Amino acid sequence: MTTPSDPSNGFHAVPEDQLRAGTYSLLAALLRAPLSADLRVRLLGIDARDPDAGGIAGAWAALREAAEGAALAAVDDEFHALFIGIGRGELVPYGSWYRSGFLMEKPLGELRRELAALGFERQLSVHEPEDHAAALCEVMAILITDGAAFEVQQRFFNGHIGPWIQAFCADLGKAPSARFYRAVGQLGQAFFRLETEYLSMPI
Amino acid sequence: MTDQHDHPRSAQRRDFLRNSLFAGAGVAAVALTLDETGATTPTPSAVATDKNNKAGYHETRHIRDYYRSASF
Repeated sequence: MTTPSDPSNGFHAVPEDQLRAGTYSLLAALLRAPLSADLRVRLLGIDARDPDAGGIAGAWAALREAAEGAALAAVDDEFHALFIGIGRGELVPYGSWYRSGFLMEKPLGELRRELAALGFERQLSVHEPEDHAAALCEVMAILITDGAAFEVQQRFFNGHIGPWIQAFCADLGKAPSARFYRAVGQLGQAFFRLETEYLSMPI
Repeated sequence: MTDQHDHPRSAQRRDFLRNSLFAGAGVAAVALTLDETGATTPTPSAVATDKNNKAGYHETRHIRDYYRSASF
């Protein structure tokens, strides 16, 4: 697999793909770990001000507004209640869970084969499954910045993300403990709705 | 070599993204904000190819970071 630094791959980081990759990376960062002070400052830089605008513009504005009112300690508690909990959190952010009702089921096996084919390898010391929403967002971000062909992005998204991610984001948007993360769920829903449409377009 | 962005359907898809992803005031500025962060946008230097691995696998800093931080 070539990298973006390799000019022979013919990839030009057009603004649309920069925005797509940036949004995937941002969602990965938000879902991977509690909000950091640094990331909060970056969210405050979002130049979208009308949460009632609807669609993705409204979702960006809602995320900015949520970051404005967010106390990091409270968001940390919220993250733990949502994703970690005692035993388990309110939500289980794994594709296999959403698609089969169980962790580490057939969808994970299929994902592992696809990741291996794409050239991604899991660290030997790591025991977490690869179908965590954050990990899948990271893979998409890398595929986009790597200049992977549209059909490669399409196959990966439609095979491993599209079938469940909107349900997860909807759950995040209405989870009992969610305050800040409601806005994350809202952005996820709006963004993945567009990605689903985009990645369903003919090759 | 044909640039995938030159294909008519590719242009159609780009138009879709321009009209949807960038819809609404300020969203283009969000892209810039994200782009400037570095940490939230994977950069070429963040993607490491293990050229010694004959199986063609590579690992990325992002994947490593994810798993290191996901020790719950």
